[in-house]
Amino acid sequence: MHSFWKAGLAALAGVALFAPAAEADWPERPVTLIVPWAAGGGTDAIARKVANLLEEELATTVNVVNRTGGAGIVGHTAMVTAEPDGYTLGLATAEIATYEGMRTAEISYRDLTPIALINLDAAAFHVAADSPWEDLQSALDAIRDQPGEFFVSGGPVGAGYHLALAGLLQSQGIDPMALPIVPSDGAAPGLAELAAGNVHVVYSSVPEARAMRDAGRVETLAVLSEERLEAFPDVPTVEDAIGEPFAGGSWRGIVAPAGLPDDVRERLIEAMTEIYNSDDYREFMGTAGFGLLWAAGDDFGDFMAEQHERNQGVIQALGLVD
Amino acid sequence: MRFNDAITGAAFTCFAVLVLLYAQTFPPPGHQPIGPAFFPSLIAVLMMLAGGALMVRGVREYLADRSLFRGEPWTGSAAAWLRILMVPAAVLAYLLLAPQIGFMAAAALVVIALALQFGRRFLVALTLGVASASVIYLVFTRLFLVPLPVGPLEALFR
Amino acid sequence: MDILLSAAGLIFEPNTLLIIVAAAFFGVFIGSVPGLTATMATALLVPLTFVMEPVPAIAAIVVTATTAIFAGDIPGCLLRIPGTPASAAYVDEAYRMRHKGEVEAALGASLSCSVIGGIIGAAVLALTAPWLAAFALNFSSFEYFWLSVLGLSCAVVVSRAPLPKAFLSLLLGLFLTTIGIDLVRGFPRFTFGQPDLTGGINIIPALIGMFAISEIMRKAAGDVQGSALMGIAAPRPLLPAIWPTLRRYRVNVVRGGMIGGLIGALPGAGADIAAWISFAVGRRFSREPEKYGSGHVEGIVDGASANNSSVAGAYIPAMVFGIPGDTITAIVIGVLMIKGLTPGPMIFLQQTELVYAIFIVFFLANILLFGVGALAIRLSRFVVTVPPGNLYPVILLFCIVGAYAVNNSVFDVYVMLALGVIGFLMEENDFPIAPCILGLVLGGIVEQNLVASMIRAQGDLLYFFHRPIAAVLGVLAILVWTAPLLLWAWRCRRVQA
Repeated sequence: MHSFWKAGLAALAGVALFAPAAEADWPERPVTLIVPWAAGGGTDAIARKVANLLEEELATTVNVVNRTGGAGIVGHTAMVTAEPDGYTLGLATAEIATYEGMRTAEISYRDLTPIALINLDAAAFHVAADSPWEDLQSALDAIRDQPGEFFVSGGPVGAGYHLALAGLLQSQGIDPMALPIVPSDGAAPGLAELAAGNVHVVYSSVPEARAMRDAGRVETLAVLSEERLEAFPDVPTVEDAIGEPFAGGSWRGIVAPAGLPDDVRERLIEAMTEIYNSDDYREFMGTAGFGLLWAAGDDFGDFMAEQHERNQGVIQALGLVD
Repeated sequence: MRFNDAITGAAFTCFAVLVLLYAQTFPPPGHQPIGPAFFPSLIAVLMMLAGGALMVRGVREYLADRSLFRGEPWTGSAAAWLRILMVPAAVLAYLLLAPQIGFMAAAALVVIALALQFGRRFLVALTLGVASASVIYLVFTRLFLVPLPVGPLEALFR
Repeated sequence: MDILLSAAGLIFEPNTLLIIVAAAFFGVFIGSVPGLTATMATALLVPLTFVMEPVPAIAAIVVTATTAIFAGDIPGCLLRIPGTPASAAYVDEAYRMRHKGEVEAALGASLSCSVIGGIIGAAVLALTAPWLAAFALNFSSFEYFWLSVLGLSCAVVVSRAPLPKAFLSLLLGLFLTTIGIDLVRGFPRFTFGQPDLTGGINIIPALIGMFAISEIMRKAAGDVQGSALMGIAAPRPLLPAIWPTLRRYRVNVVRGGMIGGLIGALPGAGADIAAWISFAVGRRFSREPEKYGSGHVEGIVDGASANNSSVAGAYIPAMVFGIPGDTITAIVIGVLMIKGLTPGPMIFLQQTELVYAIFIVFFLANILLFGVGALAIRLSRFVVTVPPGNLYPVILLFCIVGAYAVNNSVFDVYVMLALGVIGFLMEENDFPIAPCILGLVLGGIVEQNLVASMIRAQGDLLYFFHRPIAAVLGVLAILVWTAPLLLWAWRCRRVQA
């Protein structure tokens, strides 16, 4: 009975002193990891793996919470507005670097404490198997010569992959608007449109198109990365295809709200370094076909800033804002 | 409780006009054939047509029975209205209380209040509230890992 | 044959069987709680599947979804609150039958048709998977646009309410889906600067609000003393109630099963749409269409056989091409990928046992459903003989937690509340709720495909008919609306002549 009341009083006191100031004993209760995309998707799969490994590193429960909707805005807003006490983390995705440029939401990387960049999935240039284009160069030439004649799909307007492909066109001196986008709700419907012969290019990552590639319905002319993908050694990079390098895609990284105490931030970076370098994580990412990319702390912050700047330019060129 | 169709039809038509006007403030399509305003505007125009059709029905109805409102046995009873309003009020009360006092206390209070309103005896209502709040809390937080709002009572289950 | 045997070996081992039985009870429980859908049951399973082998993991999901879709009929029949959206199409039929004292006939029909429909769906899956998926894969935005318009038209035409009211209800549902980020320019529509609204109106809280909250409000208005089962007949044996129905409507069962399998195979169309379309088709070809809506068991036969069948149908595009047929298979694909298995044609060559194991699980799940379902029907009587004063406060609490748990969002509870009040006012004024819900489900699909098609056609409307299948579907959709007019004109001429 005595300990019962003590527990109750301690809990009451805990609620009353709900201040994020000193976090010497962090973590002493479960940590929430916000995922801005739906359960069952790629981001969700990575988040759940990371949550599992974080539980071991931090010796506390890590709950994955999917906050979906609005092209990721709902989830990212939840990360930004949470208490910066280390008990709410998020798996931010490339879209956080587009909202301000697209003027869809007033949130950006500046509202977050960068912890660790853990993944980059390169966009790719997929065409239908019966497409007349044999390589990337002939496809780009055709788009340049007949602007507005061909269509691209694979995701919502202004999402990470879309901007990556538009950036590729720009780098080759092609007006990105020469290849109009037919917006779709993710890679799968876009690939279906491609297979049905309704669009001519899809820009999703290679793993997302794996089943369609295996079925012989889709061919990948190039992947937008510096090096060939380990799981898909037969797919040429942009440099292999046209002689000039170009990389771009969608990335994911662990973040916390801005204003996270430094000691908590150090602990988290330490834990994430362990996780990123673990065989368990590498094997998981390898079998699922997810790409690896690492940047911790301020390096990750610089990465997000750079992405943000680049996206602003592409968004202007695409005429997505006035 | 049923209003004459002309009234509900007019309500929908007014709503449709507001939607249509507001949709015109959306950005233009730019380089695409249709923009953000297209689908909502289409819905609003169809809604105005259907609302108009309903208003015509309503006028015919009025000419036949000369009444704008048809009540039910309970529409005259203040107690019945109170019971109806208790339902949304209970949800609102939960939403306001739960972040302050935690899920279990708020949930129990809402269930007890509603059960009393539905004419249950106090002891029954109390048992119902405490039991349902605890069971639902445990099932949802333990089994389904849903993070329900935490207050002092929840600490006992940790 | 060897493959079939080794596939069976994967399933008929103690651990997997135990998981399957546990999943069956879990599915029945979740499905019969209003507001907790089969999709949610599946999502709740995902963390548990991380520690399982691929076969038991998929088996757990298949069994849970199968039993949950049926269990959704139980509160639909007894309380007029469909447990899952898939039961919404025929909830009125079941509820009216309960008022006539025909609970066993209604739920017995629902259970037996679910089992048979599910087995037909599994057969469709096992026999025609490659061919059907190849067919659906040739569908572009034009075909999907017309298909979803057909679906919406069904909802309005099926409704017994006056046409303007059913149409307004549908339009309200469609309007609600335009709230949030738009697809063309990423512009936040009707959000008034609220970040929560940029995510749009979530279908699950909307459904809970419009069906459950409005129902509790209506119950509160009336007499709340006495039992929720007032006027209900004493329990009767289940089997004698089933046979006559099955014999009489055997064509409906088979047709519903086939429709469910086909609709389920179409990406984006799930159990709920399958039930709607099968219900509409059944009514169209019924010998007694006037009885629909008055508590007619034929409507339950149509819907219940189709929605369970579509659960299996959805696995066709998911397994063959990695394109989910519904929200449940979207999760299944995610689970498979975590296990390092990419759904697609290669899986049929490399993991043949797994593929056959999934087929076997579907048959097993539906056989198991008969027993577990019958038990659930018996037990549900105890649940709902509780006085409403005890029942409704607890259901309200379930609704609150259910609406919150979908997305862990307090905002969703507000959505549930607002739409509950709107639903109450609409029902009181004879506006049907069902078209509004279908509008909510399909609005996003309609707009996305309309936008994609318009962009692709560069504004040329004739382009909507340039693909043969799209042209057929388009003409059908237009006929649904104009056929009554044409018939009327024809009758007028005959009368004059």
